[in-house]
Amino acid sequence: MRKLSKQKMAKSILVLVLLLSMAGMMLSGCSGNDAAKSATAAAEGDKAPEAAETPKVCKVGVIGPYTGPAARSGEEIKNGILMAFEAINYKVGDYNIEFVWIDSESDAEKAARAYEQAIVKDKIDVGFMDWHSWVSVSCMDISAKYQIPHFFSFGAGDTINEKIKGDYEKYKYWVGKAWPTSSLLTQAYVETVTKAIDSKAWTPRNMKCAIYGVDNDWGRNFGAAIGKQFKDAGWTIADEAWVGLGETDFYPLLTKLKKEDVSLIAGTMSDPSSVAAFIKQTREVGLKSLIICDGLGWVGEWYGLCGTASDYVLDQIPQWTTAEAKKFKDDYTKKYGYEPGPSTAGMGYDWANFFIKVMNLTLEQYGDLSTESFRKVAEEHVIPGKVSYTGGIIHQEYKYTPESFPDPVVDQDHYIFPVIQYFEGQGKMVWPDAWKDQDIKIPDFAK
Amino acid sequence: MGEFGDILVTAVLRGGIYALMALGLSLVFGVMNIANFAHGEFYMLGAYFAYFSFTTFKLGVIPSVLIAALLAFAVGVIVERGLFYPLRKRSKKNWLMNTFLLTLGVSIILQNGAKLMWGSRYRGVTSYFGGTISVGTMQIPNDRIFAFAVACIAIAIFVLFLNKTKLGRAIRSVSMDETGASLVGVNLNMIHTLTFGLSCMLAALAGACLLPLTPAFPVMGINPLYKSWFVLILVGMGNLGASIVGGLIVGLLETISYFQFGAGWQDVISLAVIIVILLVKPNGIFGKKGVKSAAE
Amino acid sequence: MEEKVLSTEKKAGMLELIGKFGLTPLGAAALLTISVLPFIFRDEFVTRLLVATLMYGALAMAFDFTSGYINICNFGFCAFWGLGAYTSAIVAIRLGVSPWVGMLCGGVMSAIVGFGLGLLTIRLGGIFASCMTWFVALAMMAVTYNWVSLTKGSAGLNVPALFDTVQNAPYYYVMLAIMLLVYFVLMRITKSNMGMAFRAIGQDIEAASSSGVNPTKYKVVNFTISCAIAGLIGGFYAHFIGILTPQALGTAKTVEIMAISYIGGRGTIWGGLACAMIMVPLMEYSKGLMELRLVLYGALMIAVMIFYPKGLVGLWEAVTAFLRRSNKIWKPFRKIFSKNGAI
Repeated sequence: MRKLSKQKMAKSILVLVLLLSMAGMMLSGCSGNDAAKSATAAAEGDKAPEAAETPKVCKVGVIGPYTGPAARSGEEIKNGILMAFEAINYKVGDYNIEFVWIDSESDAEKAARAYEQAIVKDKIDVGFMDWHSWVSVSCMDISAKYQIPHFFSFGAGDTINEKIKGDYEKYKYWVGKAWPTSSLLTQAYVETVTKAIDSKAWTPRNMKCAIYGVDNDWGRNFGAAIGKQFKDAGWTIADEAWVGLGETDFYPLLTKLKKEDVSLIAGTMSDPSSVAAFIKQTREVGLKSLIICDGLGWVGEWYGLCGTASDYVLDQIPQWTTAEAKKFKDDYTKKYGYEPGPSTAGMGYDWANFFIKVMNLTLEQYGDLSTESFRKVAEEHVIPGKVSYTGGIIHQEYKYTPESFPDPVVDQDHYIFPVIQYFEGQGKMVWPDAWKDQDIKIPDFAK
Repeated sequence: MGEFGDILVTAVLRGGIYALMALGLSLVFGVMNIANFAHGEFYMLGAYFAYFSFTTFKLGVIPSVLIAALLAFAVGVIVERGLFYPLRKRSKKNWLMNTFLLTLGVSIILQNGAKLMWGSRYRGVTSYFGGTISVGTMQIPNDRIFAFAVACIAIAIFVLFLNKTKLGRAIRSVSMDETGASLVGVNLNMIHTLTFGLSCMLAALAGACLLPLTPAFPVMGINPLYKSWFVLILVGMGNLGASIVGGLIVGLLETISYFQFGAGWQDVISLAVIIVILLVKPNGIFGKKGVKSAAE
Repeated sequence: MEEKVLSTEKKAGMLELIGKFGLTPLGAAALLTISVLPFIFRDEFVTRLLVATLMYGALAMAFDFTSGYINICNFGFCAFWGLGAYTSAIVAIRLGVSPWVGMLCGGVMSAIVGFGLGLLTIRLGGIFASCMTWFVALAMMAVTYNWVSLTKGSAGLNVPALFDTVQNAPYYYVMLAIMLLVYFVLMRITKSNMGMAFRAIGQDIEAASSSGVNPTKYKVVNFTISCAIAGLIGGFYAHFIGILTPQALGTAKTVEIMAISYIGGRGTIWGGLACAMIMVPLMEYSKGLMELRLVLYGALMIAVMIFYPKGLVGLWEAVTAFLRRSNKIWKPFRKIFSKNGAI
């Protein structure tokens, strides 16, 4: 009996404590986020000092997976951005640009925490870039909370569109995706293949195709999009195959596809080791299909890993075609010791240049680089498509319109990946017609 | 041959390497009672060492693989002397769980250390030998035949070593009865160090042989680690010979479930089969009731 | 601040009372401090960090409840956390119930599956049982990846938030309440006869069963409780962060929790919490070190295992023992520092 009452009392005391602290919270209001220098500021020593001396500084928070399994992508994007800002000596008008690198560790919760830290502690004025869709989704809430505009994030996933369209007013601070939803891009493959059949360049022995891919958001989104489009174009989907991230032995998968005698396989892998192993093994197993392998050329060293097995493979990737692009590639290789990937370092560089343009515009229009001005420029210029960037090394024009938002405008004059076919490590453009180097060639084994 | 032949060839090639990995894991567990979760990292080190000797120092394939194995042996010895030895001196209680976390720490250090040292570049070679041979309807590259052959030879030498040499017999005696072995004059510390080094060597051998298949990068060890644990649990702990059969079984199981189910469900199926086997035979298929049985 | 004044007045009378709940006065003071932290800092980031800290702490305690007592390291622990998260999210989305109910559903679901896991491991011990939990977790993760119609697979699942407000403080108090609940429940259980039975099983399963403890029953009960807690916290997590991917069920998270719980000290419950309080902020503030940070983290794990297998709790006990022995000045504080070394 006594024991019980004591328990009860202890419980009530606890509840009281909780209630009191709750009440205290209500009274004191949850407004201020000043203070808090205390123990925490010391640890962030490296970035703090400069801020005090220079009068005009614009702090940019860049999210990326700098450590963890996707660190390679994070590193390349970071380097691409740095090269763009180096060219302007980290100065926009009389502002010095400072970066706060926000490490997402490829984890939604940790990324949101780091992002909030960057906003509250490092006082970033504006956010820029991201890599994973799920990280974007969790950080979107933070950006909405502080109304910090966040420009141009990678992450193709539909979850981002879903969330922005669900509550546009709230999430409009997440200013645009830097990588459109898969289905907008995959259509190009279907068109390429359809044209090859129409022009009798290829007479497939059957209209069966198989979808394969890495089992993550990117692979599944891609597979679903391209599968549907091929179905609409009259193909039957004979099989779907998903493999774990980092898998390098595809004999079981490929033997199965070979048995099913599909004349076309389409899909994507997201890490270079998998993709190289996959392509090499298609030849070893003797697969008699035309291969669409999205993202084969994402990292510079891909050809060294997979060799001539990549001949005839179709990919959709920007090439280092223009003189500026080649220069960027050479500079990057010289500086960092390895060849950059066009869709990571290259696109990071382009989007960074677009961002610089946005910054210049902000300064011009509103007189400063404050969060408030960025908010305005996003709403009045970037989303309505009044500003776009055309000097890119990868794409013709980077632009949003209210209709396309949050995806960028995807078409031949704006953001498009050409379809290329590899021969001895060189990508030959086969689509669109306006750019193409040559017609698609069908390997003997797929005829 | 036909379809069945393809499945079989695929499974054997896959399983051979699993066997090589699992053998090292099994050895360390049997002799030292360590559940090594850093095994995949030695696989990674093997791949890196082989890459550097093959491309940077332009050594031939076989010297590269051997050098990778020897260097990993050295790293293994250092880790054992530096970490497990002091732990063994300090605590006997909860040894298995302490070492478990210790190996996780080693794994984190090696993974991130590799990233610090060598960056996140993928370092691979297109092929060691080039060329293929036909097996049924498949063109098997010589590299995979080479990897499989190395696995077979290494396992054979190893089994001979354990059974026919004095040192090997000492290792086996420690795995059966540590106290008894030390009573008859076996130097336990030396045996432990040697065992750990050998285990690392086997993992590195696998990584070095598979360099044309999987380029070296910091987190490459995770999948091989998973797979070798599957094998180990499936056949029972500390059962050296059986890990070879186990490797082939897991290879076959994965290939068949891929073939029958595919589309992502293959992992669910092969895991479910392993879970069921574990339920029916808690000591693993070939497990004997003994010192290191399931019901500890 | 008024709570503190209140507490000092009442403290004397409460001493014994809170002891019943596994709290020493020091622990009670710490608790009070924790509960007012958000106003001390008044900082959204710190509050968010504290939410994460408490979450990891609570998870580490639940993990320790299995690994530290019945001596089975549940290597698939975070799959149950993820299962609770997904259940909660799906229930809230599909059935339109409130996230609060969803969280409970998450706990219940994880408890049911945890019960099943307990049954699976009945015949297994040591590393075999760990591997069994691991394989089950990997299978659960693979199912989450592939059951796209329900979980949206790897594309990720958008989850409605628990509160309309954008402030972190409400989340903090919910998490604090969950953490306290977990702490008291686990403390009560481990100090009861059941806790003795758990320890007996963990130390020597055969001796335990020959002296009348039914290992099957206690193993299953232990797994059910531990997984239920993981599921409940998972439900909270889902509505806190707003997006779920199958990676939530992965091994990497389990390793983090395991490290926190082991460095904290096994078989103590509170060790995991204390360790989370130190480790989570520490890891956050050392982010600038990049990979070096993780290397140091690994080194810390190794160092603790070699030199302090008892973890932080062992260190704490050594310190308090030293203080008790050393000086009479400490006499008045004796009472505060004792009580089984538990805060």
